[in-house]
Amino acid sequence: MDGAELKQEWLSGQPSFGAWISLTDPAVTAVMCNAGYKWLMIDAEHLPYNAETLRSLIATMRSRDVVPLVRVRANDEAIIKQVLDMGAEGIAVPMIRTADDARRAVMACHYPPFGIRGCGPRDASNFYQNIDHYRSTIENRVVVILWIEHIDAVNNLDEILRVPGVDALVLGPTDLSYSMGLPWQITHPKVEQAIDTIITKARVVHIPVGHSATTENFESWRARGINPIFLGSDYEFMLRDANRFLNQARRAVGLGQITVTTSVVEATVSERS
Amino acid sequence: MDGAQLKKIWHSGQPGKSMGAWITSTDQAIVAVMCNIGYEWLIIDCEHRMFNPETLRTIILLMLSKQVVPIVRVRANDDAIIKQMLDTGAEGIVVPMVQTAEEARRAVMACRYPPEGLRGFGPREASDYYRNIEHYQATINKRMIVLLIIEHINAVNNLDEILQVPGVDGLILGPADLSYSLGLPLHAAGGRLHQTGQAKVQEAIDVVIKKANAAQVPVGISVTADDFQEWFARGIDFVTLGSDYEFIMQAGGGILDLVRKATGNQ
Repeated sequence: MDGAELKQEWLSGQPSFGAWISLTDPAVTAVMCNAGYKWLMIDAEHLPYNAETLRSLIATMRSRDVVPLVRVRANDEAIIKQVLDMGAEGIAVPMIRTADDARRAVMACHYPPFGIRGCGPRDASNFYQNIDHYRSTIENRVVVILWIEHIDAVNNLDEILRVPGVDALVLGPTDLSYSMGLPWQITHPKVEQAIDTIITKARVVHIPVGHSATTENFESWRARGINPIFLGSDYEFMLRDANRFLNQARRAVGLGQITVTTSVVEATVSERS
Repeated sequence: MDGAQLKKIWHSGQPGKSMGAWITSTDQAIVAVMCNIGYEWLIIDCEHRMFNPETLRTIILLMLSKQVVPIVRVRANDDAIIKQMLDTGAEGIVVPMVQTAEEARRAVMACRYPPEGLRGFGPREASDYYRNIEHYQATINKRMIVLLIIEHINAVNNLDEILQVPGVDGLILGPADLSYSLGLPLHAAGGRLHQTGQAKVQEAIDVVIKKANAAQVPVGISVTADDFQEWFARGIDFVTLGSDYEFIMQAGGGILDLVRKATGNQ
């Protein structure tokens, strides 16, 4: 799959499930590809990655026909340039607040005249072996994803959605709640209302809105119009399954169960709602 | 030891109560040994040293596992860099070359959640992969240590406003850069490397110490075996005693010299 097909999938409303990469071992990324995910997003926003690790993780995904997406740490064209030239098909930019922020993100991801990306797609074009194909298709393929996680972005959403080249939004309810003076209260009616505003406005202009979900709530998010859906991250899956099997074995021999929090989404929902 | 306890000690005006040191090397064994020696807090120097980001993940986790407070000197006053360090578990951030109150505010904002700051949510390693998220969220604003390096004469001139910025937990003096900013460059030939002994540098340092003391903001500096008592007497609240590679050089060089002398091989 490539970025253009991925965007098509998101736009068609066909359910699209992906997951997060937060660990550094290429073997983990390979296993996540083997698990059947067709797109994965590396969280290079909150987690520090060696630049070379990103190269190898992106190359692993490409070699397995999985769409590599990267959430970068800042709306910074120099960072975005490197990640695209490594072969990422999409960039997610955190903490967008204004149409200007959105334009800056789009510009960094596109070549002139539309954008300001410089030319040097080395790993991305298989070391220039596929350069003609890369240049003729990447403008359609590249996926620009904006994180909507501040009330300013909700208030500026009409203008943000008018920026040409915005391919998808993703919800960040925790930071959104902080920005509304309701720290961590992601189920507060005001926060819920802001989320509904985002979903409704984006739907009118046919821009997909994604979010992270758990096994318990992914269906209700789908019903609210969320697509794509992030089903969790590598370490959460490891924790959950390692714990589930341990508990299964302990139960079989009459030992007590060990409870774990497998994701921040669960922690947030279960402890604060 | 955590950040909140450390700040309390620094406020007590007893710099000998808890001393720190610098980490400049990438090997986790060195960090482990520095913790085992008895340092209760360590500052990783990512300003002048280049660290792979993943190395920082490893060594910050190692310090946390040994109850040593991990502090990181970042290379710039940049909220995207600071965010990653905090989410990896750093309890303190040192921001270099702060010159104005505006810059001080920017550093504090990057280290705190809204409404005081603009830190985004995602403290993964920092909350033991969300296992301790309740405790982390409830305590981190108290534990977080924001330190500013005062190493430019502009900062000295703007110090009253800088000290008024809420959330500045301490200052660290940078005498060498301060001397450059006073027009006293590296010695071109012979003598000492820096002109930090010049009266106007020392006067500026005393201004910083006095004003910080008056504002009850702890002020720290790097000391040596020869000068630590002088600094304690001048009003310094916390000190670093050196860095990993210096300790290796001093101790390694010391014994080599000693044995060479004793065996007549010098």
